[in-house]
Amino acid sequence: MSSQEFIVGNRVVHRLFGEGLIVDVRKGILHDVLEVVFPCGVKRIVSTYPLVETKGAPAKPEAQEGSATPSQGRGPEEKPATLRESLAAIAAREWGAFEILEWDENCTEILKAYEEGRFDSPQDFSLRMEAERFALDRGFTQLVAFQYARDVDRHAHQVAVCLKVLRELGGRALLADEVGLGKTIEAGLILKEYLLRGLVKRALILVPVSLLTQWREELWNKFMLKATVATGPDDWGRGPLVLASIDSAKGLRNRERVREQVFDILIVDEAHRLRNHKTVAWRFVHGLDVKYMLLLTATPVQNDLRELFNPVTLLRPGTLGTYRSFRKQFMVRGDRRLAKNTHSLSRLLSEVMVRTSRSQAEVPFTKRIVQNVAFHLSENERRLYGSVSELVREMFGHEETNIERQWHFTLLVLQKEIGSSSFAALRTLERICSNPLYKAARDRFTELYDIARSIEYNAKCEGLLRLLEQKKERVIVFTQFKSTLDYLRRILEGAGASVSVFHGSLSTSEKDEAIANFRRSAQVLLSTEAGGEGRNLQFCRRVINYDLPWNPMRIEQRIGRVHRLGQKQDIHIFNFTTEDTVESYVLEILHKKISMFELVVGEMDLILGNVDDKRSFEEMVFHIWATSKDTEEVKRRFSSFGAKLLYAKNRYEKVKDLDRKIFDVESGRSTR
Amino acid sequence: MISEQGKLEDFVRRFLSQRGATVVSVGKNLLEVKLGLHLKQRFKRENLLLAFSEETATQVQEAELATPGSYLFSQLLSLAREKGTTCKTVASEKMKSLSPFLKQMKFDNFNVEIVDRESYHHSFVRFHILISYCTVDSTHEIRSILYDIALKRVSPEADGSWDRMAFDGATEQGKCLPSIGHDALTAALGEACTYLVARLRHKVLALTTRSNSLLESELERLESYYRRLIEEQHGLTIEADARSLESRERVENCKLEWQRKAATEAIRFQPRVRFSLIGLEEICVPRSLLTLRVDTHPFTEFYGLFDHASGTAKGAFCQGCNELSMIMRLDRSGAVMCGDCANHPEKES
Repeated sequence: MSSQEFIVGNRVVHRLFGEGLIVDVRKGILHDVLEVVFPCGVKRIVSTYPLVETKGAPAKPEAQEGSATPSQGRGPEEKPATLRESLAAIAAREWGAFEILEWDENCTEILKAYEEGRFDSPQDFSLRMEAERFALDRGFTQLVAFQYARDVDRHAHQVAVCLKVLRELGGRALLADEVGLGKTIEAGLILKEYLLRGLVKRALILVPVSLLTQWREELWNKFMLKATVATGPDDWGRGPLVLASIDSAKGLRNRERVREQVFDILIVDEAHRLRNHKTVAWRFVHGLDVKYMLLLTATPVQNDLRELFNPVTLLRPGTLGTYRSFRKQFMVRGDRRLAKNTHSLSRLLSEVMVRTSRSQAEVPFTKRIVQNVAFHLSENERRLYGSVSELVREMFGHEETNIERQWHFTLLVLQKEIGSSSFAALRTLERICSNPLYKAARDRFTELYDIARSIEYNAKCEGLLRLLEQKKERVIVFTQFKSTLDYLRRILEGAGASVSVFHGSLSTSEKDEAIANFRRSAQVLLSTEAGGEGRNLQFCRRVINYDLPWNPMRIEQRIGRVHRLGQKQDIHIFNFTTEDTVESYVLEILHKKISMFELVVGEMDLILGNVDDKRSFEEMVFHIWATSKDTEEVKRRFSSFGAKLLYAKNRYEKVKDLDRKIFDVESGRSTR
Repeated sequence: MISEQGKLEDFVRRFLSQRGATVVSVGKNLLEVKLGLHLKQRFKRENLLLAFSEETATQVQEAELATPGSYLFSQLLSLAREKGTTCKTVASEKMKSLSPFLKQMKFDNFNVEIVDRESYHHSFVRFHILISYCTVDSTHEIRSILYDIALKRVSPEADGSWDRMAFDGATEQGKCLPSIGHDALTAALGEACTYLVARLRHKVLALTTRSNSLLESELERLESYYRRLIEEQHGLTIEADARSLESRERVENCKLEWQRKAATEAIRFQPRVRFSLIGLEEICVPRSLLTLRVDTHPFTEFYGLFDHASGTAKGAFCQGCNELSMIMRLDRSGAVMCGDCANHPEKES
């Protein structure tokens, strides 16, 4: 294609041969060859050099005038082809397929800058080009995503998993790493990689409701990806990244709306929920047409080998044959949990599944050393705690009325606050006393308020000061409440400790500064639950749970701030507890019954998933506390709750063992 | 030979120095950087300690890894990308005299004299294009295409031949030189891309062959699966007519599902090649268009090109094919031709 288009029958002027008539035009790649009849005879001329011009053009090389018009020679009514169209035509001719070639329209900005004379210096230009060459990726040999991830440590096993999924499995895989090895990070990296390379434009991420917030935060904090949380029928088309609970996506209201959307990748967390092919969830996912699919689970098989067949069929139908052939070839007759021909099975599975065991990961998993520090409440503190608990029980002791339901949340918060500090409860009590809604019990609350006000010092705080005095090392002190945090700050600073505070009301830069200050010089980081999501606090190895959340996942998150993959030292956890409080019972069952602090990050979630109760852990705890008549009953019911948890833990352990048995063959093979 | 690590370290040193930082080497693969005002605000600190190998980063714990893929490198990259998408350079005149022209040219069977000269700035545009090849995976490369604005064609002039030139950068002189217009620029970009498309034919062929073969194997797997599924569930082959309406419906549903899955696979393996313009530079070189005359009958006049920036003759224009050539011959008709055209008068271009 030449910049000028010559047409047979047009006249041209040649600087040597004079005016001539074009009698033939042969299209070339770089230029056309014209056959022109001049007075001196027929000449063949290439169409490029300015010796050939349409009528009357001067015969000098164009230097800066540069006004060659590509449309010359076209009829006036003919619209010039866009660059994209021209290239498509060339690609069709040269490559035999026009749809392969894409032109990035973002270049118009560069052309505009050039035309407007906005030039950068040649030094900047050459440095930029050099940088581009260094950044150039050559296939999936390296992960570009790391360049755009924040606070994501580079672990060899994660890199290997991502590369295998991208290079060998073509983006459809069951990510089945053992718990604690960072499947979420792997999925995030793969997603980011595809987005950066332009292979994915829209993604759908389906997770259990309980993990929605965590996923949204991790996508943003670690990968700078903003996900839209979809709940209603109109949400599925919003934004390139849609995050939803699988229950909401598969629901009647949304199912068809989700299917109408075009998603390039589907990520399903806790994909063992797709183990049954008869469920709506499995059928729903089977009905989605997506280029890439990642199913995340640490326990692919729980009871039956079909649970392995079903997700694999979602990913690559036919990999394990039909179910009938799978059963015949790989399942032991009479025991659906046992596999035969395991080598052959693991070879087939390696086409669609990646599983790294903790021993393969070669990541040091350091110990958690737990110390429960018990305190005796002062007389006034005990009086306050007892009175609040009594009030809570009174309210829950008889049939719920509308008013009581309104109070449910307030009382729940108050009970938690009082477990943290009297100062946390003080504000709530103050608010209650001035609220007409609570008129009926105002006297009771006023009494509580007066007791709380009379408390100047908390026993736990004295303990904290002693502990800091003994061990001069850096420490993170977690509390659930800002009022407790303010109180601790006042006391600690008064005692001459250097303190950095981190809470949800700080701006991003203030949060960064708080962490930087802690890293630089402060001895104590006082932090609320918002304690540095996604922020790397591995340089510290001591955590104090000043108060204890009733939700074990919250406790996990706290510890997870320092006990992450890659932490090189053992970490020390100090749990502050006071006897006969909700927190002491929670600690008892979590620590003593199920040894929660010895679990790996992520395992607690899987254990809780095995508890047959639709209520959350927190609700169960509060219900026991609020509806028990006396301490004896509290003890008995917490003990029975602990047994339930222990049963769930044992079930999880069995599943874990089963999975190990099935997949150990593959692990052995892949490590050789 | 400098290692890739060494090249990166050298680049980072030059880059940060250019942005006002003071860079000192403090060990093997280790640079200490004192940031200037602008970079201080950017990095929110005053100093950086950069390691260019994982080994160094492990040994020196305070050092940050600055290899491609690291967070710090990405920060440097985004800093570099804020500037440097376009530039204009002007080569300075090294040789005013035209005397080397006649010495460097070879006129086989005649002598010439220079009868006229016209000095001008010969413009080139170099397009830097990022090419992404995608199927189930993707690779990238950057190609630079030099386009000769004056001669309206992709230039064969290699970068190496310009080594002897001195570029003034975006000098006042450069700024005064008018830039080429929108249409010429678009046409040039079109031609550069066209040239590239032709050059990539083999790569694209390899890409499509690979993705077709991958797709084929996936489609075979799907076919075998669905055929067996239909056989097992209904005791039918896919082609056979089911006896009951219900069976027929089920078979049809299976077929539909198969088609859907096959279509998804086709999308997954579809090859794509994406062109993105990432940089554009204009290069102006002082040159003279010479009018030359054969010194004997028929005193044919023809044209030659001399480059003042490198002091070299670029050749004379063949009256047969219009290409520049360093060796010219006078044919019987009196036309001045390049060797090829003189030997093969039927040559087309």
